[in-house]
Amino acid sequence: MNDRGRKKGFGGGPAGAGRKVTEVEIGLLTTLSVPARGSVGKTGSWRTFVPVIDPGRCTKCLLCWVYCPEACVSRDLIIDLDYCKGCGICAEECPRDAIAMVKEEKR
Amino acid sequence: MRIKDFPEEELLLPGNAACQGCPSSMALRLALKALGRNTLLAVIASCTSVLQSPFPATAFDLPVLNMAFATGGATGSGLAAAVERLMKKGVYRERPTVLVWAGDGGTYDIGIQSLSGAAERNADFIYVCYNNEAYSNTGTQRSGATPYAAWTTNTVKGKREWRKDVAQIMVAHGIPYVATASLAYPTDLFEKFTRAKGIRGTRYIEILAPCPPGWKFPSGHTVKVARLAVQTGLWLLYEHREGITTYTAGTQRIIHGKARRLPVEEYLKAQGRFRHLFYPERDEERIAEIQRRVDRVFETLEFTHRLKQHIMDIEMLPPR
Amino acid sequence: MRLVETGNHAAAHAVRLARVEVVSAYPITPQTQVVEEISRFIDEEGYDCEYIPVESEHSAMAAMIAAAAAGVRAFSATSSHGLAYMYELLHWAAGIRLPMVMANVNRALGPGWNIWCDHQDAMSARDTGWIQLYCSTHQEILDTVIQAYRISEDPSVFLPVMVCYDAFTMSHTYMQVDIPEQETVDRFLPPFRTSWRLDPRFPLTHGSVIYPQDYEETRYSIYQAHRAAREVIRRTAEEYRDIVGNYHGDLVETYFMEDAEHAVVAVGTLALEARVAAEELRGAGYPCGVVRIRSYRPFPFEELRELLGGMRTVVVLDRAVSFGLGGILASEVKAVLGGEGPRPVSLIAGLGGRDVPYTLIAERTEAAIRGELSGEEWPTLALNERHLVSLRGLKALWGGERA
Repeated sequence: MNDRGRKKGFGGGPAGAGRKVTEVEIGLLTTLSVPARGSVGKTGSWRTFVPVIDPGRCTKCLLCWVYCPEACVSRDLIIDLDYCKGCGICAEECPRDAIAMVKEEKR
Repeated sequence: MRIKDFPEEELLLPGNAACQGCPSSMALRLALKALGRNTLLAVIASCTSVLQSPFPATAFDLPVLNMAFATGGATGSGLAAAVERLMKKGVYRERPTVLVWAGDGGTYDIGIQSLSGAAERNADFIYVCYNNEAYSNTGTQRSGATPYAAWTTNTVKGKREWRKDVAQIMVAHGIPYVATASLAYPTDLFEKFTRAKGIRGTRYIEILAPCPPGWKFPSGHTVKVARLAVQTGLWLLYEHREGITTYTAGTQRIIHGKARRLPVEEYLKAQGRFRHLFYPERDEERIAEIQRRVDRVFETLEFTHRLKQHIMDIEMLPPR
Repeated sequence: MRLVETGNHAAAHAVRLARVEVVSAYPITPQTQVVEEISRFIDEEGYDCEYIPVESEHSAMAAMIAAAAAGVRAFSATSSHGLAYMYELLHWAAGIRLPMVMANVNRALGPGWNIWCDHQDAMSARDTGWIQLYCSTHQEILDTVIQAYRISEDPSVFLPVMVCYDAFTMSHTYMQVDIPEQETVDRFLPPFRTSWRLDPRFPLTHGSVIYPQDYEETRYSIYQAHRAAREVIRRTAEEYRDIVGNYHGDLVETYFMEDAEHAVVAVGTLALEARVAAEELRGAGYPCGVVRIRSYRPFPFEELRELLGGMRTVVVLDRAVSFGLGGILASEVKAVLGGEGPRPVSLIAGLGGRDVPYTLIAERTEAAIRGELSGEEWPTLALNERHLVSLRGLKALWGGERA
C-alpha cells in the first residue's frame, strides 16, 4: 500500500497515523485539509544544487526573497534548506551574483 | 510600492507539491501578499489543484474551495453572493476578497462561458488566469492560449494557430478592471492586485506564467523567461480602467522609447518548446512571421503614444 | 393562507418560507416558473435573497455549491437537460458534504425535444450521492422543499437533497395549496446549520488531491450518511406533521395496503393514478394496494421488504428505463425482495409524457393478478403508421431514392 502521505511530513492528524479510529469518532469525512509547512514532506530532498549566499557581495535588495516560489528565503536572507527545492531562481536573478548554486553532497 | 514594503506574511507555505521554479507558486505568493489574509480563495482545476498538496494537509494558510474545471466564473459568483448575505447579517466585520484562481485551460477554453457570464453580471470577485500557455497539469497539451509555433505534446511540429487574447475579451465585457502582469515585474504585479482589491465588481488579472517543464527551460529561468516575454513585446503589460488602457512597467518603457525592444528570437531561443524553429535548421519563415506580428502591434502603440505626446505639446503652447 | 397555485409556484413559496439566501438558476421548461416566481418575490414582495441569473445549469450548480461553501442556505431548480448538464457537479455537491436543496421537474431527455414528464432525468442521476424525494401533489412539493432543508442540514446527513415532481401534470396545473405562516415554518426549520464553511479565521482547504489511501473512506462516509438519512426523513416528516400539520408519508406512502394481497409500486403522479386503479380493482374483488416511493435515495428497502414480502402479486410502474436491463424501479424492487415473496411484474409506461390512464393500470394489474402477465411489458407502447413514415425516410437514405 502506498503510505507516502502518512510517513512524510504531515501525519494522519492529531490522533496519529497508524491508530485505527471508529466511525463514531470520524462522523462526517470529506476532503478537508489543514494548513501545514511541509505538506508533502521535506522538499529539500528534491535538491541537487544548493544556493549559497555570499554576504560580502549581497546588498540586501530582497529580490531573492520576492522571487523564491517556495517562500524559503527569509527577509534576513536565511534560506530554509528543509524545504528549498534548489530551483536556482534566486541565483539567476541576483543582480550582484551574490548567490551561487553549489552541487550538494547527498546527506 | 517598494519590494521592501511587501508584507512578510506567507499564505502559501513551503514544502508543497509544486515543481521546482513553479510560476504559479510565485504568482500566488505575490498575489496573496497583496490581498492579505481576509481572502476566500477558489482554485479551479489546474496545476494549483495539485501544488497545494494532497489530503489531509494543505500549503494554503487560507480558506480554499477547490472546484471543477469549467466553474471559475460561477464559483466566484456564488461566493460573492454569499459574502453579500454574510456582510448584511454581520458575520464578517470586514468584507473578504473573493479570489478565483484558474489556469489558461480553465479560462481560455473550458471555463470561458462561466467567466463571461460572471463578467456580464459584474459579479464581485477577482479572477486570475495564470497563463502557462498549455494544459501543463495533464502533461502540456495545446490550449487556446498556446502561442503560434509552440511545441506541445499534441502539436509536435509547433501550433499552427495564433493564440486568442482573453484579456481583451474581458475588456470588451466592460468590467471595472482588467490587467496583465508578469512575474519579472513584481512591484507592478503587486500594485495591480492592490488596485484590484480596492474596486468592486468583476476584476480580471492575467499573469504570464512560464512553466519550466512545459516550456522546457531550466527551473532557474522562470523569471528570466517572463522578463524576455515583455522585453521582446510578446507579452504586453497594461491595465484597463474606465475605458482607458495604460501600459505599464517594461511595456511602457518600450513604448516611451526608454528601452529597446529585443528581437523575438531571444525569447524563443530561451525555451525548448521553440527549439524546432532553430534546429536542425532555422525556420526563417515562422520566426519572421512572429516578429512581424509584434512589430505591427508596437508600430500602432508607439504611433498612438507619439500622437498623444504631440497633442499634449500643442496644448501646452502659450495661446497666440 | 390557502391559494390556488401551480406546482412550480408551490416550490417558490417553499423557498421563500425556508428563508433561502442565495438562489442560482437557469431557465428550462417546465421549471422556469419556479425561478420567475422567486425573482418576483424578491423584486415585488420584499423577499430578501441574492438571485444569481447564471448563464448555464453547470454554473447554477457551481454557484450554489460555492454559496453553500461560504455558509448560506442555497437553492436551485432545474429539469431534464439542465440536470444532465449539471452531472459533474451533482457528484461535487454530494462529495462536498454541504446542505443544499434543488427542485427537479421530471422531464424527458432528447434527442427529439420532448418537454413532458419522464423520470429518466433524475433516475439517471441516482448514484451521485444526492437524496432524492418525489412528490405527488402540489401541497407535497411545498412541504417537501421545506422538509428537505431540515434533512439536508441534519448533522448525521449533510447531503444535498433533490425534490422531484412531474412535468406539467404537477409543474403547470393549478391546485389548492395551503401556504403556512412564516412563524410556523420558522418553528419547524431552525436557522441555517452547516458542516463546514470557508472562514478566513479558520483556514481549511476543501477538495484538493486525495490519494487511494484516503478516498474510499470519504465515499464510505456518504454511504453512511444515506443510511442515517432514512431515520432523519421519517422523523422530519413526523415533526412537520406535528408543527405545520401536513403529512405525506415518510420514505413511502401507502394506499389500501392494510389488507392488500396485491400491490402496485410507483413514484410521482403515476402512484395517484395507481391508487384509482386499486380502487377499481377492489370494486372488482381484488384486494389491491399501492406503495408510493417518496424517498428514492435513500431507497426504502426495509419498508418495501416489509410491505411487499407477503404479497401475492407485485406490479412496478416505471417511467424510465435502464437500457440493457429494464425498468429501473422494477429491478431495484426485485433486488430488495431477493428470492423471497412474489416475482415483481415490470410495466414500463408513459415515457415522454404519454398518458397512463388508471384503466390501463387496473387492466394490466388484473392480468398480473390472474397470472396472465409476468416479466416485463411496455403497455402504452403503440407502434403505428407514423413510425413507418420515418422508417421510409431512412429507407430512402440508404436506398438512394428520395422519400
